[in-house]
Amino acid sequence: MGSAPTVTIHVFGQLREYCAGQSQLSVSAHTVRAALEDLERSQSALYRNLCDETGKVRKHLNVFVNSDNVRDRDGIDTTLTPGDVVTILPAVSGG
Amino acid sequence: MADRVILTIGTKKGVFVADAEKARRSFTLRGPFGSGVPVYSTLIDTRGTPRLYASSCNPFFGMKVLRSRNMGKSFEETKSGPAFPKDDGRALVNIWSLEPGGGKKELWCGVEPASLFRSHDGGDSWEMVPGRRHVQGVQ
Repeated sequence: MGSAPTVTIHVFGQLREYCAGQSQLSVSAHTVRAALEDLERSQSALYRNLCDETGKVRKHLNVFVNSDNVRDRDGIDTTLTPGDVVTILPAVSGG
Repeated sequence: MADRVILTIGTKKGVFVADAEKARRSFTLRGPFGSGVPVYSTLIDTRGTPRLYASSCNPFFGMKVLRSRNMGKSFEETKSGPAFPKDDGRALVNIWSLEPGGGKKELWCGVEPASLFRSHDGGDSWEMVPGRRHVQGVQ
């Protein structure tokens, strides 16, 4: 496998306090899973908000690669290509 | 008798702090802190410098412990919250109980799924108490 593509992770507003106010993070990863593992190492406070102790993305969060929800692709094993934008958004509900 | 009376009130919308003179004729209400996130347990810790604690159980972003060092004028998250070790295979669902321990900064925390955590530094770091994990029928 070649060098990992560089992708952008868009950080939802409420979570920016966990990564020094940054709205975007740049990581190199072949898959969403690898991108999250990168965050676990480099942005551990942010990671704890996104994933539980078992490594699963928290159940009320949706992960998009560009405009696709990863649940409609290969989940967190969805592959990434250079320039992809990964967005993690909380579900909105209520009346 | 204490000069002031402090109440902490955990709600589904965060934690409120009610503050009154010792006669309790009227209370001033502050909050909510941890706004919009359920708080199932609070603790007024009067050992040493008083501190207030609240469990903040966010279904979106996980469980956190809030701490106030100024009698409820503001709260901040502790450096970390209780969390199962990776090899345990479980994930925290709720923090149901916060209690003071033996040392000045020792805290106990009861969680769902049934487990007990302990902090020696006022909530900045937590360790699971392994004995509970090994009681048959607890898991």
